Amino acid sequence: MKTFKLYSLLVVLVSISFFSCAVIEEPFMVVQEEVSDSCEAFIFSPVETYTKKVLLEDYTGQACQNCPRAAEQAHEIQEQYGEQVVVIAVHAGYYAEPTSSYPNDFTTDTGDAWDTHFGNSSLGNPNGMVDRINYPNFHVLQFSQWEEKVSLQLQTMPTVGIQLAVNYNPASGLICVDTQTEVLTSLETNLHLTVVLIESGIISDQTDSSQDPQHVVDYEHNHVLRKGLTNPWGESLGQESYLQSELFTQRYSIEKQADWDINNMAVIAFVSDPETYEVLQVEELHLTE
Amino acid sequence: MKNLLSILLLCTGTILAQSGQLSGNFQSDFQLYLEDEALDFNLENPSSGYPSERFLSNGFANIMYTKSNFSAGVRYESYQNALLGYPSGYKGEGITYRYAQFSSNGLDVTVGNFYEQFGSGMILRAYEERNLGYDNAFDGIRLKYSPLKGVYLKSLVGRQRLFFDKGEGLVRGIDGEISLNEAFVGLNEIKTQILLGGSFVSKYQKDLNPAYNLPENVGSWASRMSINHGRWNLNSEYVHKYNDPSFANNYIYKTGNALLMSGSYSKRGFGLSLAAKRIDNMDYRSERDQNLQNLMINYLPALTKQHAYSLATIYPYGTITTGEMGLQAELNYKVKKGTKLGGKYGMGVLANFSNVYAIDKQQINASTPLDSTGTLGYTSDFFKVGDEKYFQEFSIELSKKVNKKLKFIGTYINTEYNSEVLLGKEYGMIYSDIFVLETQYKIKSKHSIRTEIQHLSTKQHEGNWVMGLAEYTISPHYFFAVQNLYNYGNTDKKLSYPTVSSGYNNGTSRFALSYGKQRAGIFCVGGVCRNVPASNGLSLSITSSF
Amino acid sequence: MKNTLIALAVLASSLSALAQEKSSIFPSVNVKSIEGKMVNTDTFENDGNPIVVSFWATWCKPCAKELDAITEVYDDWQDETGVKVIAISIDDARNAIKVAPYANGKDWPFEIYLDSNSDLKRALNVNAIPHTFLLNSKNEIVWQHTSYFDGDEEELFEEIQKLK
Repeated sequence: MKTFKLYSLLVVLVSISFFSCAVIEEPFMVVQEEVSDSCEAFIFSPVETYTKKVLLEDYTGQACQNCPRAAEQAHEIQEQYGEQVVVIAVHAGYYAEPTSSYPNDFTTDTGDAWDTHFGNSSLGNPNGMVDRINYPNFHVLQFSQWEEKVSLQLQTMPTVGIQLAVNYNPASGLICVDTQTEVLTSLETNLHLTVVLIESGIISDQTDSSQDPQHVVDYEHNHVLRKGLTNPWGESLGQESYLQSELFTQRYSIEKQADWDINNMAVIAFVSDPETYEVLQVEELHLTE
Repeated sequence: MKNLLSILLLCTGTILAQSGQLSGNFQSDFQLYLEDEALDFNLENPSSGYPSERFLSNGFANIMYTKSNFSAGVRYESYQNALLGYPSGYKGEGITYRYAQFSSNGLDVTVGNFYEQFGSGMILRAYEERNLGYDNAFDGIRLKYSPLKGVYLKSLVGRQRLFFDKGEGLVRGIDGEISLNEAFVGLNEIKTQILLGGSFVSKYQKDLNPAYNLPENVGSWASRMSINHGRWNLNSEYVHKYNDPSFANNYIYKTGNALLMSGSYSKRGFGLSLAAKRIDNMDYRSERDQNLQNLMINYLPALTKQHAYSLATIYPYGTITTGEMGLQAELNYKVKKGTKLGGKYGMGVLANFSNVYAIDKQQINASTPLDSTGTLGYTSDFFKVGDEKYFQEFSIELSKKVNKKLKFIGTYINTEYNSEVLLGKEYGMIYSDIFVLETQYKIKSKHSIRTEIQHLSTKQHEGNWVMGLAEYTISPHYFFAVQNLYNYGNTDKKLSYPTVSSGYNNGTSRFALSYGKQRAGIFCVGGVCRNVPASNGLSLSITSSF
Repeated sequence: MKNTLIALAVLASSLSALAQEKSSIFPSVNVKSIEGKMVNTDTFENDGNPIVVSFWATWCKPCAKELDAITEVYDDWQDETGVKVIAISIDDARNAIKVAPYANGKDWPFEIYLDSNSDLKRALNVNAIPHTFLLNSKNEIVWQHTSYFDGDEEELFEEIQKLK
């Protein structure tokens, strides 16, 4: 009995060590990238009606052998619904890590943050989300479920409308993005706006189980998430509730990176509820026409 | 509703506690994760899986009340948050299992959550494997009835568990089994025992798919037979499933089937078994779009040997539910004592061979590729073996007691492992040889030391591994162990995974403390692969039952 | 949520009062014999002598060690106490066909039953195997133990002897 007591004391002492803490050092604020403000102002004209558009996120990786099936499914859905479906391919997790045979790195801070929070790669790739609905338990969807959920979401009435304007200066390499968000009906939640850049037509390696050999060197990657212009969880539009017809404008700018092909890129902005994470509206605009 | 049943249990418990009996068990696992440079396991690297909570814990407790023909039970589970490696759907805490069961006049009724298996489980099996986080219990009603001697009927209706929620699909099933010897008086005394059984299961899920006409009710049936004659045993079960387009089979309308046949001969000192299996499109879940281990209605056993030695678990086999065929043969033999090979105490021999191949798949017509969505998928010749080999293994284990103090177990395992299919990575076929030598030495009464030396050699994947373990036990209460796995053959990074552990045992309570690193692992099920990252940490595990 | 926690708390305190006093009766569950016949555990009997029920599986090495150790001293145990050992395998369809050849290949003299879906294991609240129970002449559980270290069978035998 005595040894038992000694052992349990040891166990208690060890357990106390479990309650770890992290001491944060300065700086305390998350540092945003410096934004150079040499963009021309843009005036948006009013829009009569907005259509509901749906955000389809495809969580993928270059070493994931079944991910091409998911990409094909996203492509088919876009063929069917056109501009109403906006696709982002998020490369994150174990199968997106660069290795000696797959040296490119398509991971991003934004994509990693989303993937860690929503748990996509931990559930096995490929998978995705449609408007991030049914969080926290059923937001991750097999690609065979995407079409059903997309068509359901497209039937809902839009509660928010987004307009985008883009200006690219080839001489300075500066990309300017202007957004205007219009509230279409009064809402009792906070709203966050997230803005990202994607690039299509990237020719690079990919594992594809339907090919022999499986390592494909000239696979075309589309809708690849390249950079977040806001932090991964977006910026609040500033209020706890919103009235119909309220308008919010924002401006973002960033310098083009060397390996980006401007002609194949687009900016995507979406408005979401920061508590349920549900995406209420999304809009996409190519950087060049 | 959950609260109501719990309050009912509370009242039942306090009022009737004197006359019935209360029992239960408890387990809790805690882990503190430590950042590790060598394993690249840290907060800065998001894909390393290092948990930002730093400290994770799983726990559960079962409480059961029984009084003559009545029993009821509850289970509380908590994942705050779940340990690394557990399916990430386990988030939160709550009552996940509650039931009431009573039997009267031969009718056994269970309401609430229950586990059940029909035959071998290839048509229906709800079971739990707490350490893997597997639990597909039904929530519904189950009836068992034996109308005549030797005849056993079961029926159930329910929805299956999915973490802290339930699948939307409804499952119903009936199963009947007849023991001919018990049912028919004339067969009572004959030596040959014959059992026949049959089942029918169907699942319902609404079709909301805009593109395809999906069957909302998917039925399956099974028939089985078991014959025992003294030392001989013969079992077989055949399952047939009607069209079941789902994520796992790429939405094809082909029927599915599975056949498991096995036979064995055994007598004192000798046992031989042979089993063969063929599975064709038998992934059967209560929701079409689920994957990994979620909402499986049936259980398709892998016919490969389950290993306990750590290096032998680096390349584990998991059933390919969409199609595979293979066989297993095992020989158990005790070389008699007094013979030259047997020595003073005899020698145990255990040899096992197993293999798994793809099934034959042919296009349904010239223009439709295999497994095309919305078609019949493929045709398959039942008796033809497919071209691709998935797995093959031969192992032999010799165990010998040298004298009162010393015992040896020597094992050799040779494995062929198809990395594309089983790991989702292209390393080709991985050929590996494993040698293990385990010794047990009794230092004095109640004090014993056990050592293991293992070596895995392969030219593919991560290269060679070596492993050493020493475990000191003091009966009946204490153990202390150190071990290390070292991947010295890896051309990329030579990582080692040392661990130190100790534990205290008292009756049904057990405490175990361990500190060290854990190897990464990949799991591929139904075309989806997930990676469990390597980790480093301190863990404490407590279990008890009363 | 609060209700269920209160319910569990009260149940837990009632149990601690109970757990010290009565021995619990071995539950009545159907298992299968090696020949495939359905057998109910309430038919387990040994002429009033003690019964040892031990859970094992073909993949559980400590279980095999425990049953091997008991095999070596079984004749002596039976001469002295008349004890009977019943070994219950929780192997499922993956390994069920190997249970009889395995037990016979190891020359175990015990009665073997199969509990393929762990119904008996669950009814006895067994968490990990090996887990061994000792039943007295009235089929009440008087002692139980989980895990096995070399030499543990001596403690089991001391408990069996106490029942004489």
